[in-house]
Amino acid sequence: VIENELRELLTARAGAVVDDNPARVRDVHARVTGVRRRRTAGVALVLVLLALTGALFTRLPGRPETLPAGVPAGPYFGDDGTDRSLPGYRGSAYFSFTDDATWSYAVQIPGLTQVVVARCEHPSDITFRRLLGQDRRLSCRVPVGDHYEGAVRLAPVQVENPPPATDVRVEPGAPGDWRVGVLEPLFPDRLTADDLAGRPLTGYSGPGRIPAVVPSDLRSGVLSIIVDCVRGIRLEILVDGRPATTVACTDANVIGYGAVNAVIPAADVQRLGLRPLQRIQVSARQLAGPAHQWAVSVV
Amino acid sequence: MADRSGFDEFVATRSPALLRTAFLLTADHAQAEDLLQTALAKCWFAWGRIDGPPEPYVRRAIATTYATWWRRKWRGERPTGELPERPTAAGTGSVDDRDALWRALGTLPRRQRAVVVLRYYEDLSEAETATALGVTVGTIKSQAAKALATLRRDDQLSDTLGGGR
Repeated sequence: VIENELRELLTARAGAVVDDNPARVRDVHARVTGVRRRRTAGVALVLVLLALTGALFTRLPGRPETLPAGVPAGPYFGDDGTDRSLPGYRGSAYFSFTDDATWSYAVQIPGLTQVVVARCEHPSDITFRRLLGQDRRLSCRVPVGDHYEGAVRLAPVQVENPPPATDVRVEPGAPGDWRVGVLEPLFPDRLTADDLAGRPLTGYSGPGRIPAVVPSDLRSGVLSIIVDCVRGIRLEILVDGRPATTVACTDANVIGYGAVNAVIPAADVQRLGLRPLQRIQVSARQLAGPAHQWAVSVV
Repeated sequence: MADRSGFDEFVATRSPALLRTAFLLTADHAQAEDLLQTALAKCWFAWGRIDGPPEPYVRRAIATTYATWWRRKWRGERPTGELPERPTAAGTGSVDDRDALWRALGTLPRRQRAVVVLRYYEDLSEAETATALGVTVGTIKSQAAKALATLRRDDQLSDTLGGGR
């Protein structure tokens, strides 16, 4: 019974529907346009989200875009491919390639912490086969100008007689122009008694004095003092017990491996009341830095 | 580019009948208009892929849109069926009985209401109704049985309608 009633009811109610929308076709097309617009906006939003997600993913741990600890801050190379000099470091063994190649790597000074730097066209990793006896991977992903850079710190090698050069197989993870090189720190990590043996005045020997003579021609000659030291040392140089100048062992002052040059200019010589060819005593007092890690010579 | 020739003509000629179906589902003229517009817009994108007569496809779009998306859009609203009455050609029940049945119909869950409309207004078979709603024939049978049971239990319906109370 109720099925029949439903049929009659629905037919009757359907007949009660007012007239159809005369602009139905136009309204449907307007609705379609709106749907298309929302779909386009949705697709654009999805693409933006995907791009953001991708950017975020590439910055996750394991894909570092920062340099590892213990290496100097870059950039190590210029946009034109030139090698940049870094304060406190000496670059060497630079090598360019575009594919797997053999790099002649030289251990310059045994016991020295070295840093291998790389420049790449596209962000990627590079593998060094048997570099100082083991395979090493360098992440070249730090964006610098029109290229990417990376670095890896090598532990000091303790060898009595280092070979003049070692062939290292380089395997770049991405095509493009690559260049690698070695940065040698000009300041040693530490100085031993053997390193300082024979120097007139050392941090090991304690307070002492170096006999010297004031140059005869103070217009061109100055009292020049060479200090071998590790990074962070600061010394006060005294002449006949009076402060003459200070020496800071910083990257900006280093002139060679572990050597800092300090001069006492003519004006200060005169201020100290020194005369040409006067015999003097030079001494040093440590102001900062690790103990026993310096030596002084008067030129 | 999909072939959408004939879409405009189909809409112009069949939309009065489709609107009636939409009205029976929603029990509200404004909602019926919106439901039909939405379903037709969906069909426009699929028009070139429709195999065979388009009307069953469009009716299915109306029914499924009503049963799913519609549920969210009009959640909480209950049709009252308070429409301006038009004289009908014939009727076996009283006007009060019809109103009570119409109101009871509005209390059914949307899927059950869709089953009732397709089965007893569109006169679709159980299999055709199942196809239109994208469910199994068994689901249609159970939904229809539940709907009729609900209507029979309605306190406001007279004994002559339900017969089973």
